[in-house]
Amino acid sequence: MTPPGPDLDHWTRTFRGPLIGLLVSRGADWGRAEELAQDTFAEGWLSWSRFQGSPNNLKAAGAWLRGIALRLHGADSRRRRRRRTQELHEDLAADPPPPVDPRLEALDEAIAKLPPGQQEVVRMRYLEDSPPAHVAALLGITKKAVERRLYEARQKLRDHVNRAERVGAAQ
Amino acid sequence: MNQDESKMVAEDDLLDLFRPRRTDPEGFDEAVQRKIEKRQSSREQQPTARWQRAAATALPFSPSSSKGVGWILSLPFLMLIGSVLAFTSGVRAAGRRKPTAKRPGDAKAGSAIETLLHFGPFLIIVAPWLFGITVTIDVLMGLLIVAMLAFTLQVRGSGMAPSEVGRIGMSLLSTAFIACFLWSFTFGPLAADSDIGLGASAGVILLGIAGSGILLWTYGGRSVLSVAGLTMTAVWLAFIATALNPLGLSATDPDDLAADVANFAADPGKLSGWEDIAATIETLDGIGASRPDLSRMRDAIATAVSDRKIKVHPVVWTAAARIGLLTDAQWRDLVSRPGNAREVEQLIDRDGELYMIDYDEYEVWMLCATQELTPALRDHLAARIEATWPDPATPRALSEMLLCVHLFDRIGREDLVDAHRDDIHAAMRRQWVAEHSGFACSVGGFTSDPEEFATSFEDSTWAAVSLMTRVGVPADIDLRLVRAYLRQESRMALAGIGRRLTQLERATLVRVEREIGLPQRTIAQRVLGERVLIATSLLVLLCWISVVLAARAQVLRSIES
Repeated sequence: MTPPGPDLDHWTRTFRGPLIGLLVSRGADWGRAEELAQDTFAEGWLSWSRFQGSPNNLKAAGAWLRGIALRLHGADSRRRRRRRTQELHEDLAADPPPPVDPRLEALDEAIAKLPPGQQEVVRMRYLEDSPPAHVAALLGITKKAVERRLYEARQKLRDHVNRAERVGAAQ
Repeated sequence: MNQDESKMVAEDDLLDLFRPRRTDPEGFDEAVQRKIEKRQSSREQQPTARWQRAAATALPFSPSSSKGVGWILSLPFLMLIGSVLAFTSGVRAAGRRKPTAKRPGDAKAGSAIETLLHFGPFLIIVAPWLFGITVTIDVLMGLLIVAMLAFTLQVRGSGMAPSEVGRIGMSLLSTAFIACFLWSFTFGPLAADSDIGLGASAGVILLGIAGSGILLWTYGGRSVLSVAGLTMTAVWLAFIATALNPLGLSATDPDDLAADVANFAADPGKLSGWEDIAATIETLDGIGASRPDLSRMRDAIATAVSDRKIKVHPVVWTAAARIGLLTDAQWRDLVSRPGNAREVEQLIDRDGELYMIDYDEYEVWMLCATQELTPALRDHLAARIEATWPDPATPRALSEMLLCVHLFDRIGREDLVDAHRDDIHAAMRRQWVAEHSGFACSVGGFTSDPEEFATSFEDSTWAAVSLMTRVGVPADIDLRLVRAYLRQESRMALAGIGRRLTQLERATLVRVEREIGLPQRTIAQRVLGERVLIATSLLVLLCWISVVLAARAQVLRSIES
C-alpha cells in the first residue's frame, strides 16, 4: 500500500487524542469515539486526493479531519437513532473505566458540568497530553482561544472540586 | 495570560483522570490500517459516484469499468442498440413500402403484422417499464396470436406467395423470441409461474423457425432461401445457441454445486470467491447433500494460519469459519496475533453494538473457539448482537440480520432468531423488488436499499433466502417471482465464464427449490403457468399452417391457370 500523500503516522500521533476527545464531547462513548477516530484517519487517508492544502499544514489537516470526523459521527448518530436501541448522547458516566480515586471522581463529575466548549478542550488536551496547538488546529480556532478556554475550565474545575470536598467534609 | 496555578485544578490531576481512557497507540494504528484495507477492498467492489450507482441499477456492467470489450458484449447493451437499430430500420422500411402498400392480393392481416413487427422491438423496450413485464408479455402474445390467426385465415384467399408468408411468419416468431427470451435477461419475472421454464418455449420457437425454413425449402424451392440469408440465419442461430443459452441451462444440481467447490482455487490471500464458496457449501448442507472433499481448502487455510506473511482479508476468515475449515488449535494460533487478541478482548470488555460486523464476524468465532462460553459471557455477547440487530428500515437490513443470525447460532442462542421473526419479515417485505415496484429492472429478488436501488442484488437475495430457511416466507412475497429472478441470473452465458459468475445465484436458487420448496398449485394454475409455452406453440403451429395453406393455394392457382 503506497501512501497517496500525508504521513499517516504523523497525523495519528498529532490528532489521535484531540480527535477522540472531540468525538466524546460530541456525544460518542469512549469506545465508539476511538473507532470513529480510526475511521476518520482511514477515510482521510483514502480520500486524500480531495484535500486541498499541504499535509504539513496543521490547520488545514485539522480542519479536513474534523470535517470527516463530524460527518462520520453524524451518520453514526443517525444510524443509532433509527435503530432506537441506544440514545444519542449516551450518559458518559456509564462509560468504563470509572475513576477509583474519589478526588478524580469528583473531577470527572465536575468536567461534566462545564460548558460544552470547555469540556471539549479539556478532553482533547488532556486525554493524551496533546499540545494546545493541535487542539486548536482540529477545532479551527486559535491556540490562544484554546488556552483561554482551558484556563477558564481549570478554574471552574478547581471551584467545583473544592465545593465537592467541602460538602464531603461537612457530611 | 497570567495563570495562578493555585486557583486552577492541577494538570497532573487531569492527565491522571484521562490516562485510563487512553488508547493503545500500536493497536490504534493497526486498526486504522485494517480499516484502510477494508475500505479499499469495498471501494474496489462498488461504484462510488451517485450517477454510477444509478447507472448500475440499469446496466449489468460497471459504468466505471475500463473493461470496454466486456461491457460492450453484455447482452442488454446489445439488445438496446439492436432494438434502436430495428426501430430505425422499421421506419425506413415502412417508408419504402408505402408505394406498394396496396398490392393486390396482400392479406390485410399480413400488412398489420408487418407494421407490428417493424415497431415491435422498440415497443418491447418501453412497454415493460410502463406496464410490467408479465402484463406486457401476456398482451403481446395475445396480440401476436390474434394477428397470426387472422393472417392464417386470410392466407388462402390472399394470393400471397409461400415465401412471403414464410417470411412474415418467421419474422413474427423472431419478434416473439426477442420479446420473451432476450429481455428475460433484464426482467426477472418472465414466466414466473412456469415450472418448465422459458427454455422449452425458446426451444419451440427455434424449432418453429427451423421448421418454417424447411417448409419454405420444400414448397418454395432453393431459390426461396438465398446463400446470404442462410448464412445470416445460421450465424444468428449459432449466436443464440452459444451466447444466450436459450434453453436456460443453469447447472443447479447438487452435483454442479459440488463441482464448483471442487474447482475452487482456494487462495486465502485473495478475497475473490470465498463468500460464494461458503454459500455453496452452506446450501449443500442445507439440502442434505454430501459435502465434497474440502481438504485442499483446509490445507490452504492451515498455511495461511501458520504463515503470518500471508495477508488474509477478514471476509476470508469469516467464510472459512462458517464452513468449519479451522480447528480449535488454529483459532488459538490466530488469537495469539496482537491485533486479534485485542479485538477479542474488546468483544468481552465493551458493551453495545458490534462495529463493522460484516467484516469482523470471524472474531466472534475466534472468541467462541478459544474461550469457554460461560452463561455470563454468552449473555454479554447476546446483548451485543441484540444491540447490533438492525432496524428493518435501514439499508442492508437483511444482510446485517443474516450476520446476526450467524452469530446467534454460533453462541448457541438460536431462540433469539425466532424472537426477531417479525422484524425479518418486515425487512423482507421492504427490500423485495416486486413487479409493481415502478421503474425497476431485475425484479423478483431483493435489493439492498429500496430508496436507492430499484433492482435486485444477488447478495441481498441470498441473505433473504437464507433467512427464509430459518423464519419462513412472508405471505405477501411470491416465491415463484424470487425463483424467476434467480433463474434469470443463473442462466449460464458462455458456459465456463458464466458458471463462476453465477455461483451465488445458483446456490440461492437451489435453496429456494430444494430447501424451502415452492407452494403447491392446482392443475388449472399449472396450465395457466405454462401460457407462454402454449402461446409460442400455437404461434409456431399457425405459422406452419399459413405456409402450407399458401403453398397449396399457389398449386391450385397454377392448376387453374
